[in-house]
Amino acid sequence: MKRKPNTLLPLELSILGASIEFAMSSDPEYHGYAMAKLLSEHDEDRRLTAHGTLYRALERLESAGMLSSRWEDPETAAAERRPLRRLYRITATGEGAHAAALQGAPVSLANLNQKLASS
Amino acid sequence: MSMWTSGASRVTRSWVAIYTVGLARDVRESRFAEIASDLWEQQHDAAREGTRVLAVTLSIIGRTLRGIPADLLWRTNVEGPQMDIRIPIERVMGGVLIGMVAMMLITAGISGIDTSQDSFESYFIAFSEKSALENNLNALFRIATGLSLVAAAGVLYSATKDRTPTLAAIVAFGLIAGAGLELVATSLQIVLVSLSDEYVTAPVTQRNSLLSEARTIAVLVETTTGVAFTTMLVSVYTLAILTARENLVPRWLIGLPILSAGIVGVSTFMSTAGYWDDGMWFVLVGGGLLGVVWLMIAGFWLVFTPKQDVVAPGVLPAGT
Repeated sequence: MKRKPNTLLPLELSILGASIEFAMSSDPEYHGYAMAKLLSEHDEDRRLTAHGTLYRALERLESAGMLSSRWEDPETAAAERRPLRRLYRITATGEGAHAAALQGAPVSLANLNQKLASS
Repeated sequence: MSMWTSGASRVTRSWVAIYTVGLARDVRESRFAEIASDLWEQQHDAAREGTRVLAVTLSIIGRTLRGIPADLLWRTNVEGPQMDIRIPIERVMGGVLIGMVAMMLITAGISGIDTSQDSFESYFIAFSEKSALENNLNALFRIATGLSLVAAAGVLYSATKDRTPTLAAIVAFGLIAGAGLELVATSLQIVLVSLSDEYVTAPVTQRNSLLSEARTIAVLVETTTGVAFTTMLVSVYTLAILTARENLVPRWLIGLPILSAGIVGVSTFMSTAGYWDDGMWFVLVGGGLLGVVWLMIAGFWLVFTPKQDVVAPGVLPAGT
């Protein structure tokens, strides 16, 4: 899908919306599969987002400053005998972008960051 | 975790290995780790929820396939439009070696015409019984093989000329000569096919001379193919010396081409000394095939365990 300037793609908007849901829960951080699962629950055909599409969108949102990520403590993964998780969470910029997009306003990172800095 | 879901995960991981090849190690490892985590979570989530194995397997494969365009775009974005794929040259060599297995077997496949006085006619007539399309495709396939051999010679020469220029030149020369002879044999076979068509419609009085002419050409096809295969074998033996000398493949692997050269040499000598029979032909072919087996093993070795720290001859690593 071709991106218009200062707009979010539908998947990016969904990811930000789901990230806000995570943020309001007891654990604001989530891994890629958890995001794919939550998105599928909101989706009519309940299909999990493709790996390439999901991780590319997460990376784009992170580079735009709307999400932040960190690799979890290796000891936690080792204790649970599973691969290391990359944990994402929404940033204030991401929340602002989501709100702006829902109101149909252009998502200008410069404006959002300016607003955040002044608040 | 079932065999099916594990298999699907392997497919996904293999795809990640393909589209991240040559990227910076941290970028590659990060993508690998993230996908590995996703696959693990999906399989465990499915097991917890009692989702059917087939559904999970199809979901994993589907997610991989649907994500391919995004993966390729991601790859382009990571490196920009000027993509710099740093595939180790040894891996490229390995791929060429594996390709050469097919090329050599196709070359050997040209021969097999029984040129003896008694049996030749039935072999000869068989050409006319094939459709024109089949014969044309066959010729095109062989021409493509000859051209691929020239390309293989170029790649192998570029990959090895800085290490051992003489051996690299021998390898390339052998392959180019083999390719040229393969193209000659293919052209002769095209002539043989047209003669065969002429033969079946010719009056009985002309048939003997046509058959004799065709048999001469068939002998030429057989001889040319044999020489082509031999020159390629010489390239293979030279490659074996080169790769062993440069520690690109385990040294013990050179036992195969040595055995192959021994068998081919002894059986060729015995045939010229007049001890030729059908059994000897099988020994000769078996000996040649050992060289092809070396190609396959060495090719896979180079693809999967490329030597990254090769030091050019005469250059000492820093700090020594």
